[in-house]
Amino acid sequence: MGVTLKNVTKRFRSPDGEISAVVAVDNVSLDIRDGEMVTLLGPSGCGKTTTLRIIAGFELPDAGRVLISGEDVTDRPPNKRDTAMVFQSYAIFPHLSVFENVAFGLRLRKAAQAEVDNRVSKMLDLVGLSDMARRSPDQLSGGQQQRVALARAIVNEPVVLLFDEPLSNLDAKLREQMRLEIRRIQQTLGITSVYVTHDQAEAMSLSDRIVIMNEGSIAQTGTPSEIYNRPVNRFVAEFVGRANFIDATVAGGAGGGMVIDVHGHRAEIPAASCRYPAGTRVELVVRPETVKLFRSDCGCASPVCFAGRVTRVVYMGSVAEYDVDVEGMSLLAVVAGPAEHGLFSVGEEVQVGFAVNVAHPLAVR
Amino acid sequence: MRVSFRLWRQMVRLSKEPTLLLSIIAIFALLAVFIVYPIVMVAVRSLSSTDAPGLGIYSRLMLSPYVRRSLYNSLVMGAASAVISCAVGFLFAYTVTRTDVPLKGLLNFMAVVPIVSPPFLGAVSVLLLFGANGLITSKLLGIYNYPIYGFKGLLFAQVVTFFPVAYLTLKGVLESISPTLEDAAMDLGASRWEVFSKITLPLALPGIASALLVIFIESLADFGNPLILAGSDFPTLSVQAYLQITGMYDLPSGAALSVVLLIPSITAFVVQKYWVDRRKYVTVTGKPTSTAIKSVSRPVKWVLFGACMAIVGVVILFYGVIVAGSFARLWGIDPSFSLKNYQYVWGVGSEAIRDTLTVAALSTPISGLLGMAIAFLVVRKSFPGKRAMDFISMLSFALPGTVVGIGYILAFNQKPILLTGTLAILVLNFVFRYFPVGIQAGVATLRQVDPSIEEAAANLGADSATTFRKITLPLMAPAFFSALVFAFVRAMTAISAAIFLVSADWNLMTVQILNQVNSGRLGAAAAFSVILVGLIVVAMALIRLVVDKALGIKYQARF
Repeated sequence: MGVTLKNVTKRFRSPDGEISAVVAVDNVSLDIRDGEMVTLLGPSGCGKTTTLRIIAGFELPDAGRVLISGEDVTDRPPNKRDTAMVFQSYAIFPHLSVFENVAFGLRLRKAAQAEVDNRVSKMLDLVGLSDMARRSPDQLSGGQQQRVALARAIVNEPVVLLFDEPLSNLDAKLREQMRLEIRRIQQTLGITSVYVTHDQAEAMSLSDRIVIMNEGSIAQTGTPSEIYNRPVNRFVAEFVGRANFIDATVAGGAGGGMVIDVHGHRAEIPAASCRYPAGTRVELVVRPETVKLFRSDCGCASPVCFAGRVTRVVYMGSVAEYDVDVEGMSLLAVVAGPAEHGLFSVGEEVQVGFAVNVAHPLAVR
Repeated sequence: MRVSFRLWRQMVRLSKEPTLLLSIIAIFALLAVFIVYPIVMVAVRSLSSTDAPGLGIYSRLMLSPYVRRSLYNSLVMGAASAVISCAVGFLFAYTVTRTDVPLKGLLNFMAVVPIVSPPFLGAVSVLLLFGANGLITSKLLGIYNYPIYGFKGLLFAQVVTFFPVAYLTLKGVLESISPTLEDAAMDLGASRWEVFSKITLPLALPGIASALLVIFIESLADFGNPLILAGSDFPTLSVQAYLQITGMYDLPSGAALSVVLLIPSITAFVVQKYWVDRRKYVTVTGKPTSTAIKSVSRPVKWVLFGACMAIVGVVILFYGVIVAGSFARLWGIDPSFSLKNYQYVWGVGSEAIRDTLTVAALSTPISGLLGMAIAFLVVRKSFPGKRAMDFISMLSFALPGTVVGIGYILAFNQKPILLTGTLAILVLNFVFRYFPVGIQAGVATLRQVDPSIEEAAANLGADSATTFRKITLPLMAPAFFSALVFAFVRAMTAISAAIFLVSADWNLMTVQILNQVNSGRLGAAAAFSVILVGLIVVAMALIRLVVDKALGIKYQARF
């Protein structure tokens, strides 16, 4: 149930009707379960917004089907689908009060006045705007307008709630607050949601599952931790979080795990992420926060250690970032609590180590 | 206390910038002499009748059934013309902005043609089409002496003349309504009709109201069309005021009728400027997205397109018949091709052509510069009387030409300012009638330019004058040139005020065309009109060429 996309493809046309060479959405298939919150995440132009608009019915796919609650809605216009969208620009109707904005859908359905009053005030309560009901939208702040847009979408009890980068026009603090609120409301109502964003922090904190899109196709689908810890390729690894890529070779299996050779150092990786036969050249995805630095006279506590030299230091309070040159390769390390261990300085000789068991091997093409 | 303190601070600051202070004083002086003073003269003169001095003249005029009918006719015509022109303009604007019909370029072009033509050309066309020897009435339908004079004919001519004003206003309004709002409404379950009736139309309402009032004002002020078409059965105020003065030599009555005409015009202007304009919604926020869902269904789209094409057909007919009429030996009787109209026009009118071009060429740059200067002062500077400057400047838009014309002959026919019959009176009249367009264009441009650009210049040591010359003026150049085009077109096609100000030495093409119509020489009038429109088109192309090539400024025509 929920939402299903089957082999959806969309190319845009120029105003003269010429079909663009670029495929906006390329053969995308996706199953979104009931009550699940799924984020479409990717760089601009990856097709995430177009996919969302196809679900809403604003765009017609050239090929493929869209199913909502198991029903084929591909050819239905947006007003005949049980979806509700929260727009990036909020799209609050400027000629209607906050109350009438939220009541808009109910009035279209010819709901009785008592029901409208009841449901709208409940919604305004839920988003914390009860005392703003009579205001005109131009008296609201961006965050308040966003809440009106959210209330207006959910008051109709849609089967699917769609979010089109709803927080991108808000400042950083408010964004974080609204993020939590959207998640709270979504979970309270248990409403199936599709959320489009290019902000990975937003995606990580909001989603049951994340769909990473690139150039019109799905690159990877998974829970936030799957996406972060076991990216399927370099694109995903680089798009979500930051990553070092370290060349290595599979040396063979040992028990349930796999032994790999990193620049002459041998280390074992647990079985879960092993899929390559011996001799395969791989790249290890090493997250910068798993890279540890040690003063050269203190020895190295990691199973894989290299000698290196600090080339750049950025002190950011809670963390410090270092670029370390190791045998001509530059490694990024993000060290938490720099006050605790003392800052390293540029030019300082250090030992660099990382925990191989949390490194993730990618096959080199 | 607070207010006077602010005023004091403003004065202190101004006294440190003598150039700025002098410009403000000079502009106020000019506005007082060339806009306010003539209108005051009209009001004063209306009270100086010998047989009904003081306010007596108004009660006498209002007791006259003929005058009462004129007032009624003017108001009804204004309302009808405004409603129908807006309906047609909205149809065009909605079709162009909300559908993907073909030939949008043609629709746009056809809506601009009436703007670059003399405003009374519609009346000439109506006569060529429906008059005694009209193409449609006598040739196609075999009806002779169809009663086209009066309400019907005038309404027809005015709608063709004024619907482009509504179209251009409403196109801007509809373009500024974010399509996302319509998407959102549809997403919430609204059908296409509900989207239109609950979202698009309510949001466009302030714009529609504004267009209605503007056309109401223009229709009240229209002089050429009613002079030609109204006949004696359908008197209107503007024509009656003119006839009182030129026919009866009764200046006080003419002045009093002008005052009567002023009241609805100024009321409409004040409502438009201070009430309707405040109510406009700004809805384009964030990134502009266009909707892929068509706002109208396929059949509706083609119905709209058909309706637009029918109107395009009417416009083509209106202007085609002028061209055809100009080349016909004798319209309606001998349609064979002939250049005799042109030979005749060249004989009687070459001097008027030269005069018209002289007046337009002199007044255009002055009104453009004045408009830019006032726009700059109003948007960027704070000084006492700023709102008054804005109001008086924009007011001359709402003043019917007839009233202004009468005001000028009353104000400038004696010392110290004796201008009657000179080139100067025509140039000054055009400058102060058409500089508000420059102000509008300039204000629109300046509001989009971050003031910090100018602040940066001031911060680097430039004074007001230098900042204006080196920074602001170049930024305003596109607005300046589009104001030039408009002022030029208006100067070439103006009639209502100019008809009082022409003389044997300085005559204008429009006045000559009207004379030809009144003496029944429609062919000559048509030929004269074709030459006039031809000159305008050539001049617009020249301005565009100069701006595009020589100055490399992005050119945008605004009307």
